[in-house]
Amino acid sequence: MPQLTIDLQTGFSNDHVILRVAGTEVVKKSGVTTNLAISLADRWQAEVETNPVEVEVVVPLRSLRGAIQLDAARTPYLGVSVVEGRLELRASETMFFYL
Amino acid sequence: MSQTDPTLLHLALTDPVFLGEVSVDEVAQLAAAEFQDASEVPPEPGIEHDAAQTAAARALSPLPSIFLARRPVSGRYRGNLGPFQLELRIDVDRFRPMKRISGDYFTVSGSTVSYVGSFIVSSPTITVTSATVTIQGLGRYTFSVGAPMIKVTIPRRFIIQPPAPATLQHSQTNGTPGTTYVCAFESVFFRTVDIEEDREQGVAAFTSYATGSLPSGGPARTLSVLQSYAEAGIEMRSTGGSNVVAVAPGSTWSDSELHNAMQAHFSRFANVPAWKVWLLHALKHDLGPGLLGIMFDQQGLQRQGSAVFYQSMSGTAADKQRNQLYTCAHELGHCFNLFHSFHKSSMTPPAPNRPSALSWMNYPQFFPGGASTFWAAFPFQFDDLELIHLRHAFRNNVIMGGTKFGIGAALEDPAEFADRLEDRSGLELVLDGPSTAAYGEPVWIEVKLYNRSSRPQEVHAHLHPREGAVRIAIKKPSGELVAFEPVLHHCVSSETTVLDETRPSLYESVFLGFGKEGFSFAQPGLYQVRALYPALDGSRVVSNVLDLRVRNPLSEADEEVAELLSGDEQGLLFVLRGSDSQYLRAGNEALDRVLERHGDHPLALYARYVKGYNLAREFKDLQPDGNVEVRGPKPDDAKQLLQPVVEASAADQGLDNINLNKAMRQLARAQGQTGSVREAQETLKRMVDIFRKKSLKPHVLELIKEQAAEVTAGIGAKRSKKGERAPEES
Repeated sequence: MPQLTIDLQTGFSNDHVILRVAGTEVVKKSGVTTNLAISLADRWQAEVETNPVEVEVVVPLRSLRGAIQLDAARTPYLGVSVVEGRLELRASETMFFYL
Repeated sequence: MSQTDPTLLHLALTDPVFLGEVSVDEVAQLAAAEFQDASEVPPEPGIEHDAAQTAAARALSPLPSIFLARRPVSGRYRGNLGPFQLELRIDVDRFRPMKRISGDYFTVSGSTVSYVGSFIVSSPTITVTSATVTIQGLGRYTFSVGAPMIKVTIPRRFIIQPPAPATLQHSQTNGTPGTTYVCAFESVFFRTVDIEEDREQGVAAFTSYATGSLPSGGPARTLSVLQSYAEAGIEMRSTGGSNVVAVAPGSTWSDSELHNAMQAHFSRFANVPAWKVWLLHALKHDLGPGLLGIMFDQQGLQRQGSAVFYQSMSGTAADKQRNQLYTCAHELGHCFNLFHSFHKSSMTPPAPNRPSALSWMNYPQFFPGGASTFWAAFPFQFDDLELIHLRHAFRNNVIMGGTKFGIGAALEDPAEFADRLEDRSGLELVLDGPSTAAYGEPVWIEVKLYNRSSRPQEVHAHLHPREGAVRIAIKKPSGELVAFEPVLHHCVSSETTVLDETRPSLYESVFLGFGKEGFSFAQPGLYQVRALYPALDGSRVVSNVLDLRVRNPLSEADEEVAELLSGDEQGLLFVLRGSDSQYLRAGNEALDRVLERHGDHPLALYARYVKGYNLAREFKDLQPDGNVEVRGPKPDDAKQLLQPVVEASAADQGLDNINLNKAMRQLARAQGQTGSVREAQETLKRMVDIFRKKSLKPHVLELIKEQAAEVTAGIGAKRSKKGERAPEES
């Protein structure tokens, strides 16, 4: 089973964030805030049973929702950012680096 | 290293490095040549040649042969005058000149030195002759000064001669001379920072990288971390101490452990603002192999330490070495208070993001086109705005242990920042407001958004910061940078509108005088205001910088009126344009005292405005028992208060245009409420006439006519349906 890594990256500020993977809620977290020194707020990693898999991100208090269909074997890394009031989802074949 | 001229430093490197170095003659001649090329266009702002040299340049003759090179003048100088010491930074030649001068003032008492404040001249006039370089302009200071003009004169010397001193002459804006500092040349570097590099046991710390090893955008040369900063004009002076930190096998670092290690191993650590920084070369962080480095010091006095992690980039392969250099330079950039290129909008105050910056502070993976595109073009340097920050930022905004991370990292050079911004949004954000205000005077500014493109553009419908879109930053005379936080926030609105040929702009009046942090302009001095509009396509449109000088009180009456207008409750009353709330009783009483004791004072107009505006409308007061008590409009009192406000403002002696518009409509409503319909109509007609004479844009004048018609209709409706409220004022 492929492992999926979801990074909550830029634009989060004391946010309530919900992650759903294949329709199942896997993360429901408050106080998500981007560390501005590395532009990373939080990370979720797990093996996924289905592939491709749909990932849905919701920031309910900001009325933000984004979803993406991922081939977790090919692009096992997903970066999620809030950019200009919108959710931006970026799939990657390689690990995101932070510095 | 510390004694090495960056120019001479590069003698040991490969030749192409010299391609970037320019003399002050070339800077001046280039400006003159551009003048020739552009014919009618003035030369690059601030750079002049003497007449002979300009004439020569206009003839586009080749650069004169230089048989004996003249010594560059840029660098750091220091001089004393009485108890004061001045550190002066001249940046007009050598490597990537930013054409600025800046400085820090200190007081010296015995063997103690205390920081006083800083200045910068962002757009100086540079005059070059064969004998001297003269740089002059208006300084921006972190504190109020009497003689803000600056003129620096430096005799030119041949390269074989010792550097000449720089003479800095202060003067008042009317030309009256102020103090003069004679500053001896101290260093070719603008700042000098002591760096201590420790390493985790078993980690091979980075030493240097040959930038030509892989494709890149800059000249090939060998760079260490210290040399990378030397190219930016910053001397990183190794303390020589290099502790080896022992850790348990397989262990990882948390930020807390890193901070603890800094305190234990950083021999220069004093937890005070100081030009000292610690860099730990470690193996693994708790966050795993994806974290290459972190500026972990984000509590208390911040930005004193950073760490790089070799778990994903150890080894001697070129790409690994390149990553090591990049990460080290990047993390130290954070210690100088630089944000990520793509994250500048998160600073306080915010600045537009620059994701396409070819800078140490970017993330290669986020660069448009990806990491390989970035590396192929990256010249191993900071971008210009970052360079200006490193060299010329006000001291506390850049020194380690100064302002918090991200605070004050953007506005050091607001005008230049705006000028260099690549903005193809087609939108222009303009701040308009008074250039001066009396001490204690309520300040409104106008925020205007223009569609300058030929296509219709959908934009946010509301420009007031309380709606959440537009953000405003204020730079105080002390140099402190604060984000203006409105007292009231409306629910975030997604309402949009279209700006097109028929309606090319939006306007909003913002009371800037009072926010969540209290009074914005509480002290005399020069303030700077800038706004940011996030467009719907993701563009971040930055406004002009609005200068506002708050004058000193000239009399006891000035002071007393300012005092009476300056309480928190009064501030809230201005935000609300008046209120009957029992919780604001003291504020209303203070405004009443202004009218009773100082009714003729120019600032009494503002008390009349908010009280009159409020009295023209009803006020519902929720009682403790749950009942609502309604105070009906008091139109006679409102008229008496608003009429003189309108008269003064119509003569440009009071309110801004948008508030004058509001005051006149409210006056008309009050007149309508007393049955004086003709009087109300005359007020509204006069309002349209006043604004017609102000040569407003046609669509704005149309809007004002619509507003007048709306009020007229409201008065009619009120008369025909007695007891029903007039339409809400807007």
